Amino acid sequence: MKKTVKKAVQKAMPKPDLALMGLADAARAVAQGKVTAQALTEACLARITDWQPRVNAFLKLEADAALKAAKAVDRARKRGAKLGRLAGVPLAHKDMYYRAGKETSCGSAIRRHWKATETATALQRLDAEGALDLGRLNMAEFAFGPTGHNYHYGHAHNPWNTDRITGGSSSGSAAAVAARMVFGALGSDTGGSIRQPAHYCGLVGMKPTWGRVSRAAAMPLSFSLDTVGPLTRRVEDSALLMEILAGADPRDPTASMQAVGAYVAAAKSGAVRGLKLAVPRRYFWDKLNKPSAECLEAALKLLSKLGVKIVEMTPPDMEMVTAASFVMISAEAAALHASWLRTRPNLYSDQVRGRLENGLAVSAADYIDSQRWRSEATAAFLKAMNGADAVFAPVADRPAPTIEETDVAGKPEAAKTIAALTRLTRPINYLGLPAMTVPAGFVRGGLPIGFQLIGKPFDEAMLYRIAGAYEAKQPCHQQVPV
Amino acid sequence: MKSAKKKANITPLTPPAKAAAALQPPLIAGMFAEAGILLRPGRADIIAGTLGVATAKFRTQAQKLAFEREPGLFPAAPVEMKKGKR
Repeated sequence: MKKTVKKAVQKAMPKPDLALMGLADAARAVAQGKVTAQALTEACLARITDWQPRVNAFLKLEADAALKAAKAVDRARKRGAKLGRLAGVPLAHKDMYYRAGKETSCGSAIRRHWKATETATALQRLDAEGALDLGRLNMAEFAFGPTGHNYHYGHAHNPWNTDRITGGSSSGSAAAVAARMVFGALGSDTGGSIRQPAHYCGLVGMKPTWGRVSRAAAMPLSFSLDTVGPLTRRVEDSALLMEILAGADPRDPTASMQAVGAYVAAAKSGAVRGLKLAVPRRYFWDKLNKPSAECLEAALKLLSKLGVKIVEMTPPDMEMVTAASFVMISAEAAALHASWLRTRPNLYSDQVRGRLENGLAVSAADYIDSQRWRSEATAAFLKAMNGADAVFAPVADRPAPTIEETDVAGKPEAAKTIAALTRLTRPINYLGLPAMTVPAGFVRGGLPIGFQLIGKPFDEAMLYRIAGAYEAKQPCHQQVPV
Repeated sequence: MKSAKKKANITPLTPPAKAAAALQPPLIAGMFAEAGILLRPGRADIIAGTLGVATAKFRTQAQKLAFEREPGLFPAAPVEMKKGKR
């Protein structure tokens, strides 16, 4: 009788939604046999059924293949086979990571049915650890847009308020991870495309040092600025993915040989007492709106309480750094797209075509000078840090604006709007430094905002250390969009 | 005497032409035509305007670059060395 009652109570109790777990927790649960990969995948698929019509995160869902792979992981575990660090964890990625034999649209009409002939190193490394791939995620056309608008496949919507932008260009990655449709996703960051959507959607977004993660068989936009990195809900999750993604790659000569740090250990260490954090009020705080400023001050206060020493810094002329980065990205993107601009210009959206055309009028001398000044600018920024362990800065001037107010395609104000949305992230790509968005809290209207930690070259571990300690006291990931 | 020597070392400078922020729209249109890229009406003006702001700003910095400076990212970053260690 007692057993029957217990069973009835268990049946009546709502089952915990497995999709709400963190990525690292989910990986541990599968490894320990507490949950099956199939159950995790089904939980994600249920979330996708619920959220996809509202946020348009996926361009292509590979449910059957993912379920098949999940069952294979479960069988392997039962057999006692050695599992990878991500075995059975459903992920999905920005549709610019090539997978041999599969379509990769790059968010564009030009590559709508284009099939890749090779697989991106980033995907190979995730596959090798047993991660599941649920499909291809929405993105800005050719990763050249900071809002999440896509005129070919529909705009992505912010799960916290579907009238708002996700940010971009990793729009689908941010929407999918924030809506708990997947546990993590790859994005790419050339001017803020990981950090800025992470800010608008309440996520952890890591833009590694230029050269830290291989870009082999990932769609290029601007080879001097492009970086590959993850979007996740928790700091430890990001650290785990970065440990797997980072490192030298014979397929990408720009991938650094520097040893990969112990990112997970750093994220969990909690040891931040005595660290020095520099705050560049000039430029970064100039246009910050009041609620965001208040939230960031509270974050600084919390970090200070944890024993972090907060010091002011005067950064070099960031307007100049932004101008140099504009010259660089414009020229490089235009060079990559010149052939298509000749042969099929009508297949670009107005906004992307316009931005690409700008670059064709940049002089070679200006472009080369943007390359020549780069190391000087980076050195000046590092010098201004004056021995600080990292820099604390806003990611954007305000929380997510509406989709309508940022829909500027083809309008004269497009360049200004785009520049305003990326003015705090773009310069860091030019400097090549690692930077990550950490969820700071929520402002009125329930919209999340984050802060940006900027580090020294290849010092991602330091960013994880500070971010992990902050998250332990301010666990924003516990709030879930409904 | 000293002043004459000093004067002798000075290379006569051509007065710099007034720097244009960006190419003029007709030149941009011509450049695109030469490259075989169709430019929509009015776009040359927008390109000139957009580039003008960024390139004019950046050129003020570029003019200060040392002649010998080569492209790079991290090599020139200051290397922190502990005292007494090489």
